[in-house]
Amino acid sequence: MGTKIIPASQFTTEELTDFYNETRVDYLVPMPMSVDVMAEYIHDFDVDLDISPIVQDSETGQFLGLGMLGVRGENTWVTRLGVSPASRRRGAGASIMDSMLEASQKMGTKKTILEVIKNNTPAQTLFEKNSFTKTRELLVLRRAPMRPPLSPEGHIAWLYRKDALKALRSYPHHLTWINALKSMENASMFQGFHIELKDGTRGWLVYRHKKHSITHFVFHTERGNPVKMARNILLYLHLQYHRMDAYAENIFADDPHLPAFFDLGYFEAFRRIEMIRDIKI
Amino acid sequence: MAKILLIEDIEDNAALVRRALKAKKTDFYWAKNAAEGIEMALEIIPDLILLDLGLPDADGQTLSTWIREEKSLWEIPIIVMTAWPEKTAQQMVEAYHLDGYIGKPFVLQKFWELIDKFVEV
Repeated sequence: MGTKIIPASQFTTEELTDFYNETRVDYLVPMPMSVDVMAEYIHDFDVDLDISPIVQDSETGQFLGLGMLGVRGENTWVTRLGVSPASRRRGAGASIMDSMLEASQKMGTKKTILEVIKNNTPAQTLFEKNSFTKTRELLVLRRAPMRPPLSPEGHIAWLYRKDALKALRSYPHHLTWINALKSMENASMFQGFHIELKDGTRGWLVYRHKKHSITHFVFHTERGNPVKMARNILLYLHLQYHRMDAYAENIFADDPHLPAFFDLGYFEAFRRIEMIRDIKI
Repeated sequence: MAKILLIEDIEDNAALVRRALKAKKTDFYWAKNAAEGIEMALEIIPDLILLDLGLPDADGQTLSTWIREEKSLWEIPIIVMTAWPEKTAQQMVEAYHLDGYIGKPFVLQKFWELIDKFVEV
């Protein structure tokens, strides 16, 4: 079977959405997208459609698979990679990967990053073959809408967009692509809270407020007890948004704030593995 | 006849459920996404909702919370259809106050037994 690669920029967002959804029909976590969600995703995560490949059968033009490549400075991010179920095991996935790595190389990329769902062994094997190494395990947590039974302690102040961005700029650790500063700068609704407790514990939470949910949480403890800080901020957050679904993506498995999520009724939906291809290696 | 609404974005899966329900002589309705699902539910007031968790516009969990907030829909049993591992599916059911789940791919006998629990056919 001959294949050809066409830049995603030659297709409409509707077509890209259909392609993407076609690759996911049999996934354990299918996460299909609507056209609006796809457009937001491309925008917020700096996906460059000119170097994002669509693979087609060179004779029939039939769609086989796609990948999307986010670009920020010296780093690229592989995302939405998928092959249509009927076209698997014919090398389409490898062609997509090669195309994205070649594009990254041409740009002088230092690091290419991706996340893969834990236990998706075929995908993880493909990435390992391409010199990606596992760096961290990430949790995806959910919480159904409900009013918390307690009120928070401490002094809490809203961080509006400008202040939330300022807080995030001071964040001392490396964030994953979707929670990184640039993603939040691109996002339409982004805000947070700062808290100071009587014992001197203080810190902040920043998050995105989407149409149907609150998402993309980043916690930071400036001083004191991280669990106490996060628990009180989450109590306040869920009092404000008691009718909203919450979806905390890519929380580090060793995040010190994690017990507070579980205290507030979050549960683990699934895990991702972050993998990095470092050109310096 | 009992009205069963399936909210599922994949046509082949919907066709399977339609076939499985044929033997039960129910009125079958199909919505392809969350927006269509809530609209159709409000229009037909089904006896049972079968809900796929992976929908393109809003996921099934979020949609279930909208359904539970609607005065005319909140008592309707919701069964989710999911490929999640059993433990995760059970957590979703409990956290979102759903009424049960059917693992994908489903076993016909189990599917019928679950349907019989919620609707008279």
